[in-house]
Amino acid sequence: MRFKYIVENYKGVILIAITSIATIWLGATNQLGLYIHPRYFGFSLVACTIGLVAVAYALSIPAHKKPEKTKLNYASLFLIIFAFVSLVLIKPTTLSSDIANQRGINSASTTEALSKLAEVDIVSPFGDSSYTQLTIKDWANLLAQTSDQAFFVNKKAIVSGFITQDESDPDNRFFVSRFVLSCCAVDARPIGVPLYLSNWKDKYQTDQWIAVEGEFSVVEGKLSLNNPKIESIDKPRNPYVY
Amino acid sequence: MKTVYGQKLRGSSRIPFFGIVLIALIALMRIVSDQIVNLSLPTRLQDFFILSSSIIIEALPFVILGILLSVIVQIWLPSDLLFKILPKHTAPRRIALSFLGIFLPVCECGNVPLARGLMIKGLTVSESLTFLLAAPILNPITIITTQQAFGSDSTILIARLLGGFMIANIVGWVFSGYKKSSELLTPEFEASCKVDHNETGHQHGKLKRSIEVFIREANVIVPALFVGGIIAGLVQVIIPRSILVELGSDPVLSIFAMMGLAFIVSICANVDAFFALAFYNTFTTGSIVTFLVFGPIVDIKMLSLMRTTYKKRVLVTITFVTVLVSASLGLAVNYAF
Repeated sequence: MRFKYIVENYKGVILIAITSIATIWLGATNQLGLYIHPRYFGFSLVACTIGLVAVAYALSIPAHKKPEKTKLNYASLFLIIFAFVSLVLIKPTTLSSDIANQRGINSASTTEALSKLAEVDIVSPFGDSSYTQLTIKDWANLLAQTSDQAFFVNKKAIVSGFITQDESDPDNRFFVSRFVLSCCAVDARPIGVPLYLSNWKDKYQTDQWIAVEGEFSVVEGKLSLNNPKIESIDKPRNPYVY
Repeated sequence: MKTVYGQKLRGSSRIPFFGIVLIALIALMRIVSDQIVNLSLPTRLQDFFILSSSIIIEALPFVILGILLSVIVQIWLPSDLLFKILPKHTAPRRIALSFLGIFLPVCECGNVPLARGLMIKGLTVSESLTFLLAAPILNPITIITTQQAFGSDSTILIARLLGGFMIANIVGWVFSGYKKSSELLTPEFEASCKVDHNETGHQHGKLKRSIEVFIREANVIVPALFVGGIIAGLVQVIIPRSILVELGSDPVLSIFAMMGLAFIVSICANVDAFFALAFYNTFTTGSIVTFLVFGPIVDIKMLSLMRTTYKKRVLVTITFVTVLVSASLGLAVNYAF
């Protein structure tokens, strides 16, 4: 009876408590970036702290319904169990390469890489070494916007990310990829640089984190980093880019 | 002293032991589970949990802020303060309410409890809808972020502001003809409005009443946020986004593709411009406008939240008007500019 009473009359308060505690814990352990953009960190932590104070006081106030008149609504119980499983039990992690493939790698782009490219060209008018300072996001934007393959050939890229297989040739091609966040993981946009490596699955697996250094070339009509130097790395503390 | 669930109740001004113990218990479980629980879930299921949780974690602070503002409006603000400032005639009053978001820049999820609070205070259903639909777009944070994202193309910002204003006022006008609020509001919310009015004269302390309103609003809004987050997470795992993205260059289909994207992504209006910016080169400008006008008003999360307060017919009308206006604006931008 007490259990039913608490669940039914304080369901929203309990959901705020679970989510706020999880948010503060994620913030304290530097993992909040797995869910939301850093611009929200301050606001989220302050609001959740205020929320917890309100929750503590809310649980000291009796509800209008009397305990013996309360019926358990299973939908409320389901939501509390969902909150507990997803926010308390499950280890925080990143989205998988399945989502990257499902959303389409480099299906969207911004023009900021073009202005950075202009800077690189000014810095290094006679050589291509400065192209290594371009990030994975810069390369992804350039690849999405520039159809001229000749521009990329022999240019060197140093990038890191997780492996997403290229569905067009899953045995020999894959992307070193990342997610770009605007707001939270829901809007995460997959970006990546294509790689060519015959039978790559013999050595690596999807979702594995790697650092890559190589030059672009056209293999079987497609642009990619051809047989690059690859090193396995740990997942970075903040795996997303912004 | 009354008793609830076996413990002695303490006044709200004293130390809330039960609440502190429960919070400490959940916090302890979160810390311990990180060390000992290692659930190995299928990838899709794990992605679903991350996506749903991220919507909830991102939106909950705004909901808390919205509930607190709602408490302030209902309990602490003098009853007639807002109504002294607002014009008496209905049309100018709705126009004024369209700009209320400038002073209360909460994102759209936080506006739902605030709109409920304003209705309890005396705003009509149609006026509350005008505020609710305009505020996410006609507010300083959204205007600044849209300007930052699309500074080179002022058409997008102007069309967005115009679209938000039009939809809010058209919907407000459509529902202004209804005299009975029972035709538009859920019975639960209508009942809570009546209870609140009846209780105005009671000798409850304001702090205790504030906490009661907090509980009531939390019990209605937060479960709806979770339902919206769960559905949006599920849809994201099931529907490939690439299908929508492939339609980007078509002047008509791109508009509906961006509408679909806005609906399932359920992104906050304050930052959706940065998300839309990534599609600027591959999608038509009109479809970007449609995304920015449609998304803050109609998406999975917002429909779930609005359903706590308004009847289905209201949500259907809002969706219809929003589709019509945002698509018309998108087409106008695509063919005229």
